[in-house]
Amino acid sequence: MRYCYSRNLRASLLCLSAFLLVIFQAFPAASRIYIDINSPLQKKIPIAIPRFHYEGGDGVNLSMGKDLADTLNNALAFSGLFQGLDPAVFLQDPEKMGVTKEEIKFSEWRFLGADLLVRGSYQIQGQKLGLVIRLFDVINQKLLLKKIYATDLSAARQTILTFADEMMLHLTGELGIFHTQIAFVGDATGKKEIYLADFDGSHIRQMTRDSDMNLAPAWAPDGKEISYVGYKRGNPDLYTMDLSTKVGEPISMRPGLNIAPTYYPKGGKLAATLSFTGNPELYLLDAKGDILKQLTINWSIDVSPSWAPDGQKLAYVSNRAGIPQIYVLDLATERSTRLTFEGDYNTSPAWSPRGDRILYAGLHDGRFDIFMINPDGTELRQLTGGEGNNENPCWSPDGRLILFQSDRNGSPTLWVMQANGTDQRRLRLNLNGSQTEPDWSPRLTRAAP
Amino acid sequence: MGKSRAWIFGAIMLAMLLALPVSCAKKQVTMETQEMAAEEGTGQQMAEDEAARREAEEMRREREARQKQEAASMSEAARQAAFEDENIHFDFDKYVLTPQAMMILDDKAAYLREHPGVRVLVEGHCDDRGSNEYNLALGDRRANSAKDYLVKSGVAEGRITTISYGEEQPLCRQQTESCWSRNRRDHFSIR
Repeated sequence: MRYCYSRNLRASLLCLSAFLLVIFQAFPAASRIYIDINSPLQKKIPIAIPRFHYEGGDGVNLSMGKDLADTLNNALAFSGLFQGLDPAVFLQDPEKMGVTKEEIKFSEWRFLGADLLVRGSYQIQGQKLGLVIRLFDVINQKLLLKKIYATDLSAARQTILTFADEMMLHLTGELGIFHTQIAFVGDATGKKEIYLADFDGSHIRQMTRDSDMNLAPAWAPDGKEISYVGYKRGNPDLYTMDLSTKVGEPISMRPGLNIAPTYYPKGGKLAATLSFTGNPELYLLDAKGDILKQLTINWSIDVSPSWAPDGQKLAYVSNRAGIPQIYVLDLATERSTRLTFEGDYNTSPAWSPRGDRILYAGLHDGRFDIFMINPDGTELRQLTGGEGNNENPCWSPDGRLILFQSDRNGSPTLWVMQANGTDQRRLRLNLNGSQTEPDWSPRLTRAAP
Repeated sequence: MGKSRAWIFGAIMLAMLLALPVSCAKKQVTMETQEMAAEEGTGQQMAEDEAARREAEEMRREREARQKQEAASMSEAARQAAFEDENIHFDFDKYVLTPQAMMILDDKAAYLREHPGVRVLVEGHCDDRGSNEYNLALGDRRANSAKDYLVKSGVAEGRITTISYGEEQPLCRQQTESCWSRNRRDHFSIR
């Protein structure tokens, strides 16, 4: 892994080109990482994506070239790693501009400040779409990636997102999050229901339509199922839903609470809070809801479990000290240690996909904010502040983005930020009412319903 | 001159010596007076306490009598409504019963003892501060606090069920202490 600490745009260009040089000369295929996304000094990579070039066919749809470029631009901007250049400053008419390396005038793109250039062309034959997309390194005047796709017109967006994932893999060594979805609670109908949407808030689907409210959705690690809490039988019960059938099946309907489901990272099991003993305790359940193991035994509240990615530890909330604080349970030793000591009210832990950080929401000066801490209790950092209540954080599967709910604009809605707290922006969800309790899916191999 | 001065000095000393026990006696008298006054004060306090106790007892008897009378005059429907209308309240992030809550639960226990066929649902609620999940757990404990108290007051456990709604069903939505305290409640409904 190489680190690219850049102090300004020019340094970033030099740094990137140095890496390209190293990679293409010394390690042509094995080591591809030359954007280090963990560096706090990482600047956004300036990228130019002119409208795709129409190459003919029998279906003329000239606005499509712009739609394809916009889709890619928006997806890459969402990742927080790229800064798309405004097409208004482009020096050439994209329709007259070539698409191959020989035809690209790299000096012009370099003059505009672009480090990378994506040049795409498309053909339409009936309902079929042909795409050729090239990624160029402007500094070194090199073709980095060329992909050819033959697909249906209706799958244009998914195909562009596939290219975006390929780009991320090529540039960072890891797939992007462009084939992921989010689950959340929405009350647009006047009642809380479970919704799914694409990573960027598009393609919203209401998954539950019950007589009473539904809460706390959680993704299974295979992305084919969610678990949630439903009240339709007059009690907070645990349900699972196969996303291909959209039928919610109750798996735990014990008296009292059946809440806070969280799938074991390797699948097949869930941690949840049950209170049939009269006190909310954590349990390990199998896929059918049978108890495999009781994880906490005491007279305090134990709730909101979040697994470490290796499945050997569990962060959770307990008020055994009289106030809610985050604890970490080691499943091998069955011993819990207190993680948070700052503040009187800390809840909603979320263990990072890389295992190196834990997010939580803490009460601070009368408001809730998102905090990040290492699993050993060091490096406490505040990520939000001064803007309403910020709660229920969760991670993107690549650990680069954080999704959370914030009431800074009124009723709670979903917001996204980089893992270092920068770039806080509202998720574009075309939905009325409030949105709460988000959970980000793992990478999905194919589009869920 | 020297002699008369010495005499005056001696006389003053003597007077002072004589004065000493006198002033001491005076002091003792004063202290005794104070002690007596204090005793009188204690007596007064005790009398006041006794009066307050009598008054409280009187009020309790009156309250009970009034409730009995009201109960007698009230229709069953009205008594049920009274039972269901009165919530008990909790402090922030707490599920211990306040003395006020216990008094209200005493009335509910009395009603339930008088109506052995009645089953009750206790709903635990929270204000909207804190996480939805933690508040579900807190509401569960609040509902169970009331249930345990009713069971100890002689109501059969099987007649009481609980449910937590956490922060999901607020009575009001203002971000003020008066609204938050209204929402931190157990609600009782007859099934």
